[in-house]
Amino acid sequence: MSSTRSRRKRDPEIVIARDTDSELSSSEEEEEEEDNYPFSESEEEDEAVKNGGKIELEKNKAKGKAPITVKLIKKVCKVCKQPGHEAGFKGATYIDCPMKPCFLCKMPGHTTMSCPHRVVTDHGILPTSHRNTKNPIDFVFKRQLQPRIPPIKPKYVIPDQVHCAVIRYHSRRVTCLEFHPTKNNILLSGDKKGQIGVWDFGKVYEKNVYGNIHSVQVNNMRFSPTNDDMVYSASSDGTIGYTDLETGTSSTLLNLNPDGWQGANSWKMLYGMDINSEKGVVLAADNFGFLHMIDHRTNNSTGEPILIHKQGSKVCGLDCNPVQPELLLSCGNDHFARIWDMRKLQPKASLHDLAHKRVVNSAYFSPSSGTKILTTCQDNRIRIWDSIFGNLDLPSREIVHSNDFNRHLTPFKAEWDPKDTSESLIVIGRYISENYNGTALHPIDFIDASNGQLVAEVMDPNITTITPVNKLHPRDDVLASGSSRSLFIWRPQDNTEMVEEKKDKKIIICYGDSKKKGKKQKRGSDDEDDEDDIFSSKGKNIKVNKYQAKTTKKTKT
Amino acid sequence: MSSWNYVVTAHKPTSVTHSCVGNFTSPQELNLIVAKCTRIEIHLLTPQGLQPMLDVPIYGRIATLELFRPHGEAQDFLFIATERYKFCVLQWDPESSELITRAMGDVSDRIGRPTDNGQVIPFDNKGQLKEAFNIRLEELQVLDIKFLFGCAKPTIAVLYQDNKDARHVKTYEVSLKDKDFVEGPWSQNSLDNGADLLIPVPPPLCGVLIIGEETIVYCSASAFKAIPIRPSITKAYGRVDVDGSRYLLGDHAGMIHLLVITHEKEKVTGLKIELLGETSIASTISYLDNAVVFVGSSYGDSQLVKLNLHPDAKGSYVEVLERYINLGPIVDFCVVDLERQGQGQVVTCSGAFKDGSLRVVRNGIGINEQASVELQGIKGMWSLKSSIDEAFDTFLVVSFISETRILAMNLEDELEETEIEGFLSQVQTLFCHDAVYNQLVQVTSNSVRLVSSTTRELRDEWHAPAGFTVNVATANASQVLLATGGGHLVYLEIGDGKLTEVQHALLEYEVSCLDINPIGDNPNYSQLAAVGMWTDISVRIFSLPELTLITKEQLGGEIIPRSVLLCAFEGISYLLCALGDGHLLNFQMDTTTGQLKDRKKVSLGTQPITLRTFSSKSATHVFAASDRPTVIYSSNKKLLYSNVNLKEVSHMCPFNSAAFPDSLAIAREGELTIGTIDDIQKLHIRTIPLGEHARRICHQEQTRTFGICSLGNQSNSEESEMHFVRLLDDQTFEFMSTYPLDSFEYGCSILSCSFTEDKNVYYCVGTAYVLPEENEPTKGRILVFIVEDGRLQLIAEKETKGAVYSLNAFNGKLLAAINQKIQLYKWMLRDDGTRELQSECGHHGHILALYVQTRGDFIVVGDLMKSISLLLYKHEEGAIEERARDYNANWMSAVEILDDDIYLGAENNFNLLTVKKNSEGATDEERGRLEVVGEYHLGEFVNRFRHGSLVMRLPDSEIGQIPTVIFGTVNGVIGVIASLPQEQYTFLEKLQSSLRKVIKGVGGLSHEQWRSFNNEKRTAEARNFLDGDLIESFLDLSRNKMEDISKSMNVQVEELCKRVEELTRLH
Repeated sequence: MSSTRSRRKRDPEIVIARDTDSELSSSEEEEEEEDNYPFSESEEEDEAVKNGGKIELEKNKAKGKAPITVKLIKKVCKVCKQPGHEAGFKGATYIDCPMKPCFLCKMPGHTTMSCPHRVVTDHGILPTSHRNTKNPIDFVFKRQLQPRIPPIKPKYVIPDQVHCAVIRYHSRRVTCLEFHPTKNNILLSGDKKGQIGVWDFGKVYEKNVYGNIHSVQVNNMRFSPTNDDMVYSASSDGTIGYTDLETGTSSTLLNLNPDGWQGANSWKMLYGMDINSEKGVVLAADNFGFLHMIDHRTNNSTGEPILIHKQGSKVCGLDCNPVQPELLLSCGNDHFARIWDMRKLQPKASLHDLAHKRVVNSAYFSPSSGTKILTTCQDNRIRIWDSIFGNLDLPSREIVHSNDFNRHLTPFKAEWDPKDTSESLIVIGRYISENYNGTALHPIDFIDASNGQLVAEVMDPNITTITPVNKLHPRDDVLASGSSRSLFIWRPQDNTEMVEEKKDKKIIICYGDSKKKGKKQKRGSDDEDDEDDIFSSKGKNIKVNKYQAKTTKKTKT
Repeated sequence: MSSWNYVVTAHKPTSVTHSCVGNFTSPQELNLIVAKCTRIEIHLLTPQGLQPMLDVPIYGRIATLELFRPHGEAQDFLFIATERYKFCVLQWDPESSELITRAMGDVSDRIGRPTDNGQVIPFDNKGQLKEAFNIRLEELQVLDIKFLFGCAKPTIAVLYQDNKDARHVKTYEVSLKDKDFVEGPWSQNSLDNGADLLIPVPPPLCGVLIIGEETIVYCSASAFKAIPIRPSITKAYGRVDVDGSRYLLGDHAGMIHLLVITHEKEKVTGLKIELLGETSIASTISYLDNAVVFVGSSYGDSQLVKLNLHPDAKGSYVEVLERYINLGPIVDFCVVDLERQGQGQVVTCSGAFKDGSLRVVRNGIGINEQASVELQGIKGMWSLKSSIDEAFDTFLVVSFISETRILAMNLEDELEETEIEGFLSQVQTLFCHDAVYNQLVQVTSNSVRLVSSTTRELRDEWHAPAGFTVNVATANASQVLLATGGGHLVYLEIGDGKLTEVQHALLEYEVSCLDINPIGDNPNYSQLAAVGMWTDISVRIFSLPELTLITKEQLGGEIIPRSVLLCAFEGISYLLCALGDGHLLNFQMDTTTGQLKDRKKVSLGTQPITLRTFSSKSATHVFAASDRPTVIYSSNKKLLYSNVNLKEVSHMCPFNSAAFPDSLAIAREGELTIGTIDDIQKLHIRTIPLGEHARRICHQEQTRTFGICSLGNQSNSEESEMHFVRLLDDQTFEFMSTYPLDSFEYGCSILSCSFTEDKNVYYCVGTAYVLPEENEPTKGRILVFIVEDGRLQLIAEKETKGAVYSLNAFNGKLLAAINQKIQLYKWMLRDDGTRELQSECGHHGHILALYVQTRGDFIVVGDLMKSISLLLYKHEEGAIEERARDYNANWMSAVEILDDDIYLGAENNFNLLTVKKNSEGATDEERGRLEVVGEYHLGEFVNRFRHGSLVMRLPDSEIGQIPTVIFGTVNGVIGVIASLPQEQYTFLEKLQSSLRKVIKGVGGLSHEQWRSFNNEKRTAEARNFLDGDLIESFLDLSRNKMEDISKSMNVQVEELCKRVEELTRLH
């Protein structure tokens, strides 16, 4: 059970958490949408309000609460509601609606199946010549003669095998993950219900969930730069919590809704959050475009909120530059990512605005040099700017990647690998499913940001849900992913030549909310329904064909 | 615990990185200034050649070195910028012959992006340096920037690469007011793909030369000229004429070309290029004067060459006038004790490509030969004065088996054969000495002759009794002691014209050696005699003149004493006794009682030793002539031994003549040499040119061979490189055998080892197939060779799934680092009697496991970029597990194990670090972490660490107990890291901080900042490492400054000197 032996184990340790939460977890977002996912209906949330009503109507129909009407569903296309053709899934294969542009790249003239961005592995980006990807052996010998040569990009180590998991750990979908800054095996997870989980994945069984911190959705968590046991969390309840992980005692540093619910128009939610450790300031931004600051030494808010994005639009993310913490990057629903100088923060005084086509889910500076920018946009594109000193008008690269979704998911965010000194490896979950031996799986993609090449797609046949939340470990070769209510820890496959004894898997199962059991199984199941997840079944069949189907992985070098 | 480390340079950097020429030391003097990464040397050009004026360390790695002349100055100033973005302007102070700092500053920018192709700092020759500011440049991949001549505003030309890998040149004017760039007068798109270098052309022509791999382009606002060239990569250039019409270009293959800009007045008409010849691969070219050019090299020896008007027989215009030794880049090295006498020698793989060589670096004393003559069969040598009061020696008596010849200085200061009438010249001389009353003594096998040194006539003679011959004899100015067969010991005293037999003794055995060197107050008279004996193997002390036995010391063993010597160093009297097998015993002696104590034994060589005293720099030393000539001297009341870099000396005598002051006469290998002796403790370097690039080396003691992995010289770049495993004789360094590797196969590691249950020793070679289409080697081999009849015989081979970066002998097995993995192989006997490597277990989880060291069951791995990790081999489980790791992202370049708990590493940013195993940690987490305990900026890229020492480690000395590691670097530095006891470390740390206050860095650069650990992410003060170079510079300080430090430390100057001097004996 010790964490050190972990490398040699081939089988994942899986904990299926017992759902002690008796609270009804049904809300409108829990409900299933129709399954025609390629119909890209999901707009920015501010616009989605309008669509929301319609969707709910349809949902109710599907649930059979409406008067009985016999619909000849097969005769109309699920996507465009036009008769004469069919679209949607046939088994694990998706058939495009000819009336719609390509679901992936949004370009007309071809279907998703034949989309050039889907066929080629480099996501349709012409590969730039591999200036720095010299052979490592040449690098090693050349460096012996002339030390100041550009570093090579070594072969990426891809954590491509589920090592352990907690199934149905959270009572609602996982929204964010954070690794402990010093303890290697501690993973923090926030969920839609406002709970924060602390899991020691080295010991697998040691887990704890704090439910008293927030009342709804945790959007971001950051460890205190001065105290490893304290964590800040930003929530859609409009508060910033400051929690002691040992005890779970929490204080509220900022409450934007002191008067409680006054209607949707005034309810403030906090999304983006980051810490400027040099100034000792916690930064958080709300759904109205404002930035709030808290001095983390006094834990009091400082200054007035500043409008940094279009008034009334949500600020999705904040990121402080790792080298020059005065530089702040924000992104939001107003289709922009913006660079700010914290010393000159005032509305419309951004240093640069990076225009996007749709909502920008995330924008990050590169983790060590802070000179690159990576954004994830709902227009199915990941954008990279290679240098903040270069021309920022256009991104250096646009990578087409399926991350636009039409269901209630945590938004996809491309994340840097903090260990990659070449600052090129990124990880992001994929929305569109692929047919793997008849199963529709949603892989997690590893992409080389310097050339747009798909380095690896990792998946596990037992995870049929979409995995929008991913985080790479700052030191170890570990990927943590949150899919639906479960957490997974991935490590690289051990392809040693030696034969090793297979160890029995350790699986803890927690029976889910009984109310959800009645739900019908759906293919391409959404984040919230994991009933079809084989881990969730009684726990007996787990020994049957786990990992019989080989984990598929393509690695391009 | 080896946490407290002392880093010191044994061999300074020799790789030349920059050079420039100008009037620096005076308006009339032309100087060559050479940068060797962290040092600058200032030379003066004289008709005789280069004369060194100053050699100083710089607290930084030099990135730019330029001479410039500000307005109104008569001579040039020197501008230096370091890689850590510090700069300074230096001026020569003729009074003190030192450098004065005129300006200094820091141009670093927290968020600036270092250029990919090394640092480029352009320099405007008209610069006034009022203020420094940073300007952002839009281009990301800048290859070169230069200021242009002849523009109204400061203008730069920028050579850059766009994101499609095309290369362009753009010009920008610097707007001083706005501190920004304004689009310049011209630009040139789509250049040669290999364009890499800009040369600004001075007025009147102006413009810029763009040097590519296949073309050279001249470009200016008004003209564009291009010529094709033979494909080559230009590494260095030097301007020949002030008007900038001719340039010397040095390429990657060491070819030197002359580029001429043809012009009609100020209009450029074309370009011409001509091959001149071959030099070392140049990193810098400075045209001095009169067709003499300095070629500075990082890959081979730097050279002073003359460009002749007419080609020689081989068609070359280049004539090498002088070579300056360069060890860099030291790619690998091994520490060997070829003579098996406890003194390490370093054998390096030095140089690159065609300039590759092996260098044998040995600590020892050099003899500067002044004269030599062929003389076979010398049996003894003595120098004599023409009168006892004279300062200089006149005669050199050389004895042969059946004759004695006498040399003397003539009026032309030449040695010429002469005669001393009173001496017998038809017999062998056993001993000679100057004697009181201007007399000379000659002892032959039959008689002792007393001769006047003025008249040279015989004055008295003592005859051996009939039937006896004199076997051994010794004398001083007033005494003679001799032994005849049968154990008779005869003592004579010298009077004015009279020899008196004073005493006679009969000993039970034959006498093998004698000495009556005066060590008491009277320099002419000894009260003690030392006698070595046959049969009972003893040394005895007799009192004089009574010839009574005072002390008898049994030597033990079966080897007879061959030479005894009474001597005094620093007021302490010693008896030295050399044995026939090359061992030397030394005793401290009480001169009044003759008691011997503190017996010590060292091995100097393997042949009989002859001991003689001599003096050099007014100190007495002892020369031990043998197959490994050694100088014995004393420092801080300790006897020290230093090699003399001569092979096999049979006899030596001091010969201090007017023409050859302070010289030694040395008889060796059929030759009589007269020469002066070097400073004690200097490194001696021997070069073995290979003509190819050796990458890995190891020594196999049992077969007395070296194994190297090398890469053949690619004279023709189209041919694929050829890689070899070669076997060399460890004495002659001749190739004995060669095993060519497959095409595309690189030799990556080599090891000499043996396995359990097999008494043979093998060479194991790890290789990699580097295929052009592969991003990473996926295949390699481990080849196991045995040396049979001087040939490499392949015994076994094992295919691997990647490059074998490292091989180690481990528990009687073979541990290999293969790409991401550590793999352990067993040596198995097959049914048919042959053997094979069989994999036993492995460990994954590295980016690239490049450097591996082992100790017991522990394995320390240096990763390409994941710092250091500690693995443990578990015998019962037959498995390798990770125990702990350093989680920092260090790109390692070498690792070594200092002791069970402390591991040493060197990384990409020129830092050293030590990490510590935390066995006492409370949690798994803590135990799984290697704690960084030491950090230090070495400023040198270390390619290899090896345990060992360059100096003879005497087991009885304190300094001999200090463990040391030797390192070799890209710039040719050989350094020593010594793990000090904590008390000593704390003391020296105090001394270091005191010295920082007293010794100021050149250009005002701070020592503290220079030694601070520094990488892209952070800078941290150095800890648990001390700069030995700074500490040892204490000894060069003036007495006043020493006293200042002594006061601040509250320690006596003498004590400080003693402690620092002790440290200097580490290297």
